[in-house]
Formats: sequence, C-alpha cells, structure tokens
Amino acid sequence: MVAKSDIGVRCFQAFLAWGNFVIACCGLALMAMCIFFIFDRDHLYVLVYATGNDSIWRAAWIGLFTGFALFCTAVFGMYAVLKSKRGLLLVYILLMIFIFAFEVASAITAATHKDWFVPNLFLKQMLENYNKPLPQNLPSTQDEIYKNSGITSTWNMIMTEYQCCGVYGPQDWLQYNSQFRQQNSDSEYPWPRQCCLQDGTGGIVNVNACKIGVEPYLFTQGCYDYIAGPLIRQGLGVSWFGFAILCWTFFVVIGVMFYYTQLDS
Amino acid sequence: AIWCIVLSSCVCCGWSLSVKPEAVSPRLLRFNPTQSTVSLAKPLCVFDSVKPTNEMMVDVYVVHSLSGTYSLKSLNLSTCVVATLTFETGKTYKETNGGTETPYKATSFGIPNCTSPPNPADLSVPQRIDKTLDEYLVRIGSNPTCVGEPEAEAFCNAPLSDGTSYRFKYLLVNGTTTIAETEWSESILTRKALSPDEIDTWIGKRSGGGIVVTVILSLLLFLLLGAA
Repeated sequence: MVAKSDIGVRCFQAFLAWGNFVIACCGLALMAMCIFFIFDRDHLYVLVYATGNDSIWRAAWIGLFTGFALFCTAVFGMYAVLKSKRGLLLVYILLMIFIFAFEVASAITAATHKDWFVPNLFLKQMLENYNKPLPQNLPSTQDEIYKNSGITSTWNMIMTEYQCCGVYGPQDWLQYNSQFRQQNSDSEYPWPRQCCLQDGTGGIVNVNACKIGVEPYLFTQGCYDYIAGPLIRQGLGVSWFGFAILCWTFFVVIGVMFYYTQLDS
Repeated sequence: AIWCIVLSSCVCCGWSLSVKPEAVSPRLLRFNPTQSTVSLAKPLCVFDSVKPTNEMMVDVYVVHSLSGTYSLKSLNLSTCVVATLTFETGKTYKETNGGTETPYKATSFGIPNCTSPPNPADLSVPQRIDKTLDEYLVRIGSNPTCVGEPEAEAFCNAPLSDGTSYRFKYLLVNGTTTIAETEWSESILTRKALSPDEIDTWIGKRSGGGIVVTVILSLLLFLLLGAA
C-alpha cells in the first residue's frame, strides 16, 4: 500500500474509533438519564399509570437498555475497527442496526406520548379517583388498591409540598362533582384540607379562613405545572437526546459499513 | 325613609330600607359562592337610621329566586298599616322545604358595630382573622349536620342546593318584633356541580417536535436497513 493511502486508512480508522467512543459515552449518559427518570423522584408514576398513558416510562426503560447496549457495542466496535477483521465488523454492524431500531422506537414513543399530558387529563383523573374509597363488599385487586391509595397520597403530597390546590385551582372542586365531594360535604370541605396553609409542624393555620376561602390561608395556585413539568422534561429528554445519539450513530455506522466494503477479506 | 323622620308616628312601623344584601366582593373571596354556601357581607351601618339597641338581632332569610318575590308579613299590626305582606317570619328550613315554598330563617347574628368596622388588613394577622371574618361576613349554608336532626330546630343554616339561584334578606328584629328590613338581594347563583365525564381530554394540536423526531428517525432507520 502507498504511504499516503495508508495514512488515509489510518485516519479513517481513528475517526471511526473516535466515533464509537462518543457513542459509548452517549450510551452511558442515556442509561444514566433513563435511570433518573425511572426512579421517579416526584412520585408521579401512579398518576400517569392510572390514566393508561404510561408509555413514557416504557420509552425510558427501552432507553436504559439501549443505552447500555450502545455502550457495549461501541466498545466492541472500537476493537473491531482497530483489528480490521471483516467478521467482527459484520457482527458490529448487525448489532448496531438492531439497537438502532429499538432506540428509534423509544425516542418516537417518548416524543409522541408526552403530548398526552394536558391539564384536563389529570383533572378528570383527580376528580374520579382522589379520595375514592375501596368497595366495602367486593375484594379489590392489587391494581385498584395501588391506584386509589396512590393517587390520593400523591395528590396530598403534591398539594402540601408545592402549596397548590387542584389542577387549575380550588375551583376544580367547585365546578365538578367528584369522589371527594361524595365523601365530604361542600359546606364543611369545599376543597381538601391539604389546600389550606399549614405551619411548620403540619397543622393548619386557620381552618375557618381556609373554608371561607380567604387568600393566604387557601392555596389558589393550580398544581398542573408541578406535575406536567417533570413529565414533559422526561419526554423531551428521552426523545431528543435519543434523537441526537441516533443521528451521530447513523453516520458512524455508515462509515463502518463503507470501511467494511473497502476491506479485502 | 326621610319622610318617616318627620312623622314621629312611624317609629313603630316596619322600616323597609332600600339596600340589598350582597355577596362578599370577589376581590376578597375569589371562590364565593361555592356549591352549597354563599358568604354575604354583614349589613354594616345599614340599620343606623333606625337606632338599633344592643339586644336587637339581625335575621337572614333565604328563598329560591324562582319562588317569586315575597313581602314581609309582620306579626305586630297594632299601630301600623303595612302593605301586601305574604311571608311569615320564623319558618325553618324543613318547614319551607329548603326555601322553595316560602322564605326560611337561616341564621341570626348581633348588630354589626358601626363605630369600629372590621379592618381588611386584619385578615393577614392570624390572631385577629377569626374575629374579623365574623364581623365582616356571614356564611349561609355552613351547617351540614342540622338538616338531619329530628328535633325541630329554631333555625338551621343548612347547605344550599347547587346550581340554584337564591335571594337573601336581612331583618332587624327585637325578640319576635320586626323593626326593619332590607330589600331582597339580587339573585345569587350557587355553583353547579358538573359531572367529570364531561371533561374533554383531547390533546388538541400535536407538538411539532414529535413529528420531526418521528419522520427523521424513521427515515434514518430505513436508510440504514437499505444500506445493509
């Protein structure tokens, strides 16, 4: 081989190896980000699960495994490129295409399903499930117990921690009938006690003022931003970071395919 | 009622004051009325022309707007001639079927102090808020428990029906004698409780980003499979 083309080949090899290194790092980052989302620090999973639209979590799980797979395959790819063996390169290409397809699925799922989180979705679910009692006579499935108690405790936690009430505000409880309304009279509980201003020890500052609806003693802000914010960020993260990784991976795999075709067997 | 100041024989008459009870201003209470309660502003300095004494009380009467406009039927007709009176005082919530037939007496409170009216700034002071709220407003519909009690109550401030319009009237009474009355308030509508099934959860427009990601990634995947 001529010295010049030898340098050219070496450069190309180095470029492919570096490309795979970047893929490996990105794969690790994707895995870490998906672990963070799945961990669900804000305890929002039960709210999303009850709506039936928890595909964002499935996208995060796929992202976790593809991230790890990308890392492993990219390291293998670096080795294969530097060894320049046709067999290894073929294995690498096939694995990469396989992982690529899965990651495409994850990114598209996350991108399309985050559109579902409109305020009315959470409003309807809150009115139908918050404070819903389990049926007295029939046994409840684990699923029902999980949903009922999870939604009630999650909403209580959100309203207390973020000092908000309902999805749009306390008027949610006034405009609609709800499970909460079935259990509690409007005179005594126009809205849940969690919407009332609390002091440091968790006691309500003034129940009467909260019932009447005087402003600092009742939280008038809606909780939608605190619910949708983390969920939409999760959707954005999984979809757009996945998209960026796939664009890069596409060019690296095309480069390796080209290199494969140029190699003598 | 300027003409009655001139004629002293009108002291015993039922004074009909041309003021109307009002719901508390939305600037103070954003969520008033609720499904079954209405917070009314107490009549501050309204009855002063009648020179009320401390033992007099103010009664609040409630009626459904659609039942028609009622005039007061006074129990003391000895020295005054009073025009068309059609409702009796002292009816309870149960007797009037929740105010659908004739007005019922919901609650009663002492004369508000006109010389030192409640200060809205006191509402942010936790120690003074209960007193300030009590002096400033009266909450109709605040007692959900007295409705089911079997013994006949003197009066029951029962919860109102949702999605119904009501009118309110203040009566200045001394024992059972009516001294003065306000006009019937404007029609106040309680909130209607809609069913959550009516909530539309349609997502509206799809975000552009989702479409971009879908199209480009599908394209890349097909190119990759084609090249392989």
